[in-house]
Amino acid sequence: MGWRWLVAIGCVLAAGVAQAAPTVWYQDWDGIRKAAATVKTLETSFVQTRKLKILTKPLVSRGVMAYRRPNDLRWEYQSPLATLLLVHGGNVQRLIKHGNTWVPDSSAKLQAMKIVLGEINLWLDGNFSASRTFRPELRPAGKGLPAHVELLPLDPSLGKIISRIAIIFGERPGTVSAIDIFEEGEGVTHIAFEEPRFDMPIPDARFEAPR
Amino acid sequence: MSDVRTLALALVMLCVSCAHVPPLSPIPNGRQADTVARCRQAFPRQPWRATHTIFATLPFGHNGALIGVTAAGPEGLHAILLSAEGITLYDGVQAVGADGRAHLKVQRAVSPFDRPSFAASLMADVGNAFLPPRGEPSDVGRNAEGEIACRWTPPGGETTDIELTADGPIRLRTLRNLHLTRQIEFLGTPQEGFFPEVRLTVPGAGGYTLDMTLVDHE
Repeated sequence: MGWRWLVAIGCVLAAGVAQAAPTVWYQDWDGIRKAAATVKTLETSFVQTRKLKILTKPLVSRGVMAYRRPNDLRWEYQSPLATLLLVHGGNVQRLIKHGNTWVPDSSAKLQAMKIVLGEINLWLDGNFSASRTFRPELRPAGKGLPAHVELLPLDPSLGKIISRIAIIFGERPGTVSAIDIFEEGEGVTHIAFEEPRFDMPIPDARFEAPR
Repeated sequence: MSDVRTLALALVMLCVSCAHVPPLSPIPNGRQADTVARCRQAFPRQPWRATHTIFATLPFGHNGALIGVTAAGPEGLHAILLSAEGITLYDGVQAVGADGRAHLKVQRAVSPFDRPSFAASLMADVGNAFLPPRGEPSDVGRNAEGEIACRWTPPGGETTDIELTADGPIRLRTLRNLHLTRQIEFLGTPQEGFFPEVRLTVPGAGGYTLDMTLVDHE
């Protein structure tokens, strides 16, 4: 009989230990939104890696991102292809660097990427469920994968281009450490953010087209 | 009267369709083999793989930018277009079959890159810019501008001229009858057949220019 008491005490202790484990900020949607709201501004560099079967080395792109709550965004690729997406005051601009001049990107650009870039503000706001384009699923860490939100396209035609997107949480509450964009088939684009700086003042000029 | 005009127009059209590119002036026989070898320096030795950024100047003042990954070898010519964000917009392989004809297999293409005419034009652009014309040149000599050139004139096909300066290949032009259909300028000092910049121009109302900057090659 005595051993049963021991087991019961053991179970209670184990439960106590489990309850004492620190709660993570990305446990539920409400926690994610509250944590994201604590980030007022963010500036970070990023490295984008794209593996292709025909290349022995991955294609590496580098850039910077600036975000200012509630809706200002600068997403800039600096190499190898210099492009700039600016969201400021409700206006969206896409520019390409040609020589030393920034010119408007007026091509019939892939609609899917416009949609994805249009969603970045929602992600930074922690407001994944407000998306009309993707169905979010919260995935806790496990099976060798970090905790992340998986975004699944609602429109099947978009799904033929982007099968899913994984937004991987950072350690600091309300932050993202990486984004993986999965194409139908085997293609994956990995974007890793580096050296983020939080809550520093960012002037309006960072969200305006270069002159 | 109308019949006369129709006949005159038909004769003009016939003359244009029969028109030939002005012949090249001969150069000394001893220089021909060396000239052909220098013309072939416009192209990298296969197999190769390369990555370029592409800036497109399109009709009506439109611009666009992409990343192009190309490979050439025994399996044919493989061309991939990526958006800056790394998404595959187009992936096609063109190989020459047992019948001697080029066969194109589009492995992936998303709108607006999924039009059959786009695939054919893209492979023609990439092929012209990075693959040497098939076979031996039909002529070697000086063109009307005084530049030394190698000329390929396949039966029923376009004429391709590769033009040289003292430093090497400078330009490739394709002509159908007397009309320029494509011009490729080789800019900068090449490394293993890869020029730092290649500018492709397709003239005409629906024409465009592609400025291709070398990022990497293997």
